[in-house]
Amino acid sequence: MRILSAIIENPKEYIHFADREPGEVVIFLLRKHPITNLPWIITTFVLLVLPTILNYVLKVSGIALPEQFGLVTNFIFYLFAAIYSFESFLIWYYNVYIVTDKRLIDIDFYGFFYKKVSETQFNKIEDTTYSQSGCLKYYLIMEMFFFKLPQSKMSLNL
Amino acid sequence: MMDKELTDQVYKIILNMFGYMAIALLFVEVLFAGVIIKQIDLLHQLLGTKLTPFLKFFAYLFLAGSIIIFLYSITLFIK
Repeated sequence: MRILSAIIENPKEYIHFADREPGEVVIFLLRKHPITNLPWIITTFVLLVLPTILNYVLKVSGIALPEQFGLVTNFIFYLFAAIYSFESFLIWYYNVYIVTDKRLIDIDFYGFFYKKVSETQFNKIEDTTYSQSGCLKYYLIMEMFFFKLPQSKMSLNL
Repeated sequence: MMDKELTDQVYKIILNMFGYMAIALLFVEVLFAGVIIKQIDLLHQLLGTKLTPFLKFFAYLFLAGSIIIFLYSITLFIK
């Protein structure tokens, strides 16, 4: 399960990444802690259980719908639940930070239609800050890093 | 009697509308499944991992499921 870890040192499971320079060595591959997946896992569970509850409520209240009506509604519901959970997993899995021996790369994947890649050389990092807030983050040792870059005045959030 | 006939007709119209809406939704899902497969290819170019074949398998499974349910709903609602 190392492939799904939040912090991977010297990753061998990651075959390549875009614009990798020859001889560039990946030191760290970082992503959000797996516990951050909990909200979408709970939502998916609710989405999977909801048709059964609705069917039961309709049955108890005596509303008789045609069989094909209920069947197709359930299928559509389950398909949307599958899309939602799959996309949420991909968003977590592909939102990564790659630390190589030459630079820092931030790959942001916000959804199927938008992704952003930022990178910076180590000598361009002017300032670093880290913050830790919240009880859960304290127990899970989750921290937020900010790298300040001088020219673009842009922060790279890690 | 007239009221009952009218109610039945409205009920039938609503069911038909639902049927066509379901078919349209499932068609969108089939298209979306295609987009997912393409996106996984693009993501693999961005960050290639050993998990990619597994993700692609899921995407193809989703596409197959969508197509089967889409065709099934067509046979159910369009007669």
